[in-house]
Amino acid sequence: MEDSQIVDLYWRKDANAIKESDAKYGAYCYAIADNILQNSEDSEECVNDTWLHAWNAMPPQKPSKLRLFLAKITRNLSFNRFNARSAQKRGSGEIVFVLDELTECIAHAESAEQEYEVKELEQCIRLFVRALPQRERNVFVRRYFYTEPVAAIAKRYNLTESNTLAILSRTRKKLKTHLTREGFFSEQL
Amino acid sequence: MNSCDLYLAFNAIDDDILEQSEYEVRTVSFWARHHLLKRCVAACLAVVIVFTGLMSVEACRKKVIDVITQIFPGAISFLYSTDVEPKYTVVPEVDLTYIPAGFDLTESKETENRTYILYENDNTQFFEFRQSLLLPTGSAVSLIDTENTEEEHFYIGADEAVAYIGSAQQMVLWTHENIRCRVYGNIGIDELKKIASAVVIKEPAAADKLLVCYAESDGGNATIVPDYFPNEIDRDYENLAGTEMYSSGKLTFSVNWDAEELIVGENYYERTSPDSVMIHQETYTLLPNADGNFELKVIYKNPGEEEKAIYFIQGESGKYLMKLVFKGDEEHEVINLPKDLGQVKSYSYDLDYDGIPETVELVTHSEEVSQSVWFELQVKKADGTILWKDEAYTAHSGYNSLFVCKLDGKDYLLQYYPTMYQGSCNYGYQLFSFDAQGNVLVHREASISFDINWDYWLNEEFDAESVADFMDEVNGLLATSKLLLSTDSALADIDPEHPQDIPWWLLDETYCAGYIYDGSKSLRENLLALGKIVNEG
Repeated sequence: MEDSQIVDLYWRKDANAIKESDAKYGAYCYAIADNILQNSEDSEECVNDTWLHAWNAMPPQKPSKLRLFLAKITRNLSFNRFNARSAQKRGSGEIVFVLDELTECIAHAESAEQEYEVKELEQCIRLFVRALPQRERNVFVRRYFYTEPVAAIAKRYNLTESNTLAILSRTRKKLKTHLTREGFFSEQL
Repeated sequence: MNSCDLYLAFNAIDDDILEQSEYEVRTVSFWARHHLLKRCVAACLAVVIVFTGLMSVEACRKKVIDVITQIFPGAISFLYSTDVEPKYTVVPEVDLTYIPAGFDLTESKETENRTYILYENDNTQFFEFRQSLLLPTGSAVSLIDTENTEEEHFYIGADEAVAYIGSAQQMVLWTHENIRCRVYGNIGIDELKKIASAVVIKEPAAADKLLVCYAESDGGNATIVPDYFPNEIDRDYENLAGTEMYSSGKLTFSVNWDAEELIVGENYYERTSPDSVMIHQETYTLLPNADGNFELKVIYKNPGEEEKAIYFIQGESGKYLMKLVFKGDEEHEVINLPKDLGQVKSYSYDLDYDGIPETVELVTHSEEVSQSVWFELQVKKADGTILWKDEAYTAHSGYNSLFVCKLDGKDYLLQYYPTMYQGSCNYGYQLFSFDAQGNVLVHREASISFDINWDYWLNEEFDAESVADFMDEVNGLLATSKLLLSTDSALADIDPEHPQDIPWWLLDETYCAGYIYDGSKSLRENLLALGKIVNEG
């Protein structure tokens, strides 16, 4: 079924919307959740929650790209579930490394307490990613949006793992510089 | 803000950006056996085009090039790479033995890795020939507009070629050993095929510049036996494809140029990721052993599987040749200290203008514990007391370059610092002398800041004029100077007796697409040409 037809089902509050979403994007959303949670039960629950959230979101929302709309819902839900786990249960899944890597982009502890608007940060990230060269952008998005393991990214783009790591490192440094220039952190003296 | 906030902010990425990341890249070998007929190439994201296996199985097995093909609407991208021993390590001489009547050579450029030749006639017709070197550590890309284009497969000698036939322009692509070749123009496909078929690629000359590396490991995964690294790969070690070895081991390098020493950069990390905490960093010199080879032995001091040491080897040009990663759990040891440890080089210049020359001495120091090497320039009075001194280290933050400059009959010290951190540049100099107490008297100084991250959208325009003004000024002073001391890798190639600086990023043709340094033009003209490309896109 076409995305537009599935969205119409949501708008008409037809229960088949969920069945069709699951059939078309269930595996896709599960992969996103599992990258973060590394647990099949939790991941399945997040996927099921995704349909509920989509049901509540449409209307009024009418996404043109349903797959990515659902991906973002799943990603948020999965991450919230990850955070809700106790520290011991968070384990060593890919998300732990991803968060660790993103810590490098936050200049230094003293300046990270500055107030900022969430929307401003989102806009900053959005524009930063858009301005990246295509290869760097794709690798960066696979890692920090999709939380894909480095080996999977390397395989996807036929890169070596060390090359992929180098691209990520370089781009994180650019992001840190960008966030500093945008005023999210104080300039280091 | 914490990393979780940052992670969640990625949800704002636009859908088209997320979508673009979802393609995959397929590798297709030249010896695949699918047939591709002469036909119109339609835009189709789902189809992977495979180069035809028209040759015999035996001929196919001899192919060494992998081609990664991506299909976009209206275009095809081919990424060429190879992982076999290269026949050519510099781009070979080539003869275009057939030139259609009425065409004259209008442009010809050659570097170690590329050749470009352009012919034109008086009727706006042209054809160009390009060849690119493919090495195990690099790759080349061709992007072809395939809208309304026919394609045809044929042979140039034993090499499989493909012709793309458009109404306005045409192209012939083929590879010969590890050379990627292309003829492109608007003179019709029959003429281009004749030109391509008549290209004679000469056999490689002897003694291409190479670093050949052999490795032994007492753990697993000693895979560098042998491996080849051409003289110039990249300026930034992060861009080097690293070769990993597990556990401690010994590397032996041989080079086929007259190298009295190799510069080794050593970074030691607490974790196995290259982005982890660096706990040790130094640069030192390797001298050859009795056989003329260089040996590097790595044994770890602090056992633990979460440790990694990364070595960068600098080549003749001063650029990084090789990146080696060791993961191990044994004691760390460094060998091959410089033989000139403790030697002093001495000069005489009158730098305080009292009529009595001072002795300027370059002293090399070595730390016994860390075995790191650093340098000191001392200006001593006639009675042996030190009037002034300055230090220089081989680590990036300790770079220092000092020259003695003669201007209007007087001696000065000239300190020049072409500093760069991650593309953010701050170039400057100071021309100074001393008073009787050794206080520095600055006679002239200048500096300029600019950024060479051309693709960073927040960057201001590159002010090529100002950079050219600064470089003319500093090179004017260097022209009457001699090098006393430099640990700056950016000046590794500078002539000590007749120093002049051409910024390395200007000479690196991979740094800015569409710009190649023109040795027949001045530094200023080259900077302005680069500025035009960078600012106008």
